[in-house]
Amino acid sequence: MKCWRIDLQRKLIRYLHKELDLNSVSKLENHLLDCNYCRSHLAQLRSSHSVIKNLAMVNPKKDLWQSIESNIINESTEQLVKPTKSNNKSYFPHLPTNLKVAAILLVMLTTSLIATGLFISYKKQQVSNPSSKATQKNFPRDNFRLVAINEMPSNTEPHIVTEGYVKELRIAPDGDMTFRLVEQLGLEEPFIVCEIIDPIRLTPPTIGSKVKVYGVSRYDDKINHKWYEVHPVLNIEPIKH
Amino acid sequence: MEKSQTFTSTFERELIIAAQQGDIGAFKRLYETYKEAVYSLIFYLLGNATLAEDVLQIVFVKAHRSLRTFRFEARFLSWLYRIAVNECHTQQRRQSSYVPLENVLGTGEELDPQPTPDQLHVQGQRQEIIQAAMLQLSENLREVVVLKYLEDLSYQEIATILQCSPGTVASRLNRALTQLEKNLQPLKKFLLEN
Repeated sequence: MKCWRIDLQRKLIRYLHKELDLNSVSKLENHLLDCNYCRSHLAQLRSSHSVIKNLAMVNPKKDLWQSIESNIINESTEQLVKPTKSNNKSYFPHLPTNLKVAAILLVMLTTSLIATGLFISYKKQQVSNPSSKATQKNFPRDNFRLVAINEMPSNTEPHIVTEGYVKELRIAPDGDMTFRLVEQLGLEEPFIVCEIIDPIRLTPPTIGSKVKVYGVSRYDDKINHKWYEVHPVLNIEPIKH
Repeated sequence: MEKSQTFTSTFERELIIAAQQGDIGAFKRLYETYKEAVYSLIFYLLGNATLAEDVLQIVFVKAHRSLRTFRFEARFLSWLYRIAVNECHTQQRRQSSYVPLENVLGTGEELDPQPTPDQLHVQGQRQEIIQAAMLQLSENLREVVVLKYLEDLSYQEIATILQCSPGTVASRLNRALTQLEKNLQPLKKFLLEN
């Protein structure tokens, strides 16, 4: 016979998990003495409870700390480069306004002269150093052929661009950074290994992010490697979902 | 059910403070302490070991990034679980919610990669059936079961992690255990035969 004490039935799960106060426990146990329906429901809950409490912890197959640490170090490096915000303050409150204006104009004139000089030397640097970060805005994307990760074995072009999700970011002792690019998170293959030979010049990607990687394709036939690579990586662009 | 090994609260507090001040060694110790618990949660929520490894990395990187926001108002593991649950939700939105049973019913390698004698093999199969039953639950039911049965968290702690009420936790656990009773029929048959 069905029980209509819905208020007490709702407490059975809490009773099972010892989440009831003593007063409620006493009321519920008195009810259970007379109610076969609720006793049966409690028995059902106890049955699955006794099995599911054997749910085991699971360990990851490999040690992931190195990859986590690499990512943390990269993020810390980025933060050091970012400018800090400063609060708005009123400087030199006691100086007359016209003097302040003259000083500001003088600073602006000096800054523009210095900036012109810097711009000229920057342009010279661009010509001699095409892979600097400042040139990434003018990066010649059209010169790179789009190749999917699973198409790498059949690719013959040296300059390629490919897309995928970042995993296993590592820093080698010589300072080079490598990461694996996979077509889908959760899948180990197919993959390619991407190597940044100068991490200072390129912003390292975040693990789990989807990116476009531009660079030179090659095959690494060393023992224990035998994989396709983008090496060196020349540009990285995040892909927004 | 084995709870994750935890330090005394004072020692853990010191570790967390050191990690907040940039001590990567202290953060590594926290990672070593809690990686099994967090990975287990992620694994049961997503049902895919390789994806769970990726998400574990993301969770700990995010945890390190926002470590300064941890104010000792709750257990550190509960704070980690919250990050993990949110990240799993993000991943679930990207992936299909259907988890094929063959992803779980494998050779038992994920439970014990080393060769096992018959008794442990039976235990491994038992675990596979329990995991398969778990993965047949919907995501919101699975969450409460994993949080309750892996770490024996209170209803209030689970509610804080999932940002719902303890009443909702109770309701979901009730539905989950009722459904598991049916899902675990294969296990009962297996146990009778073995």
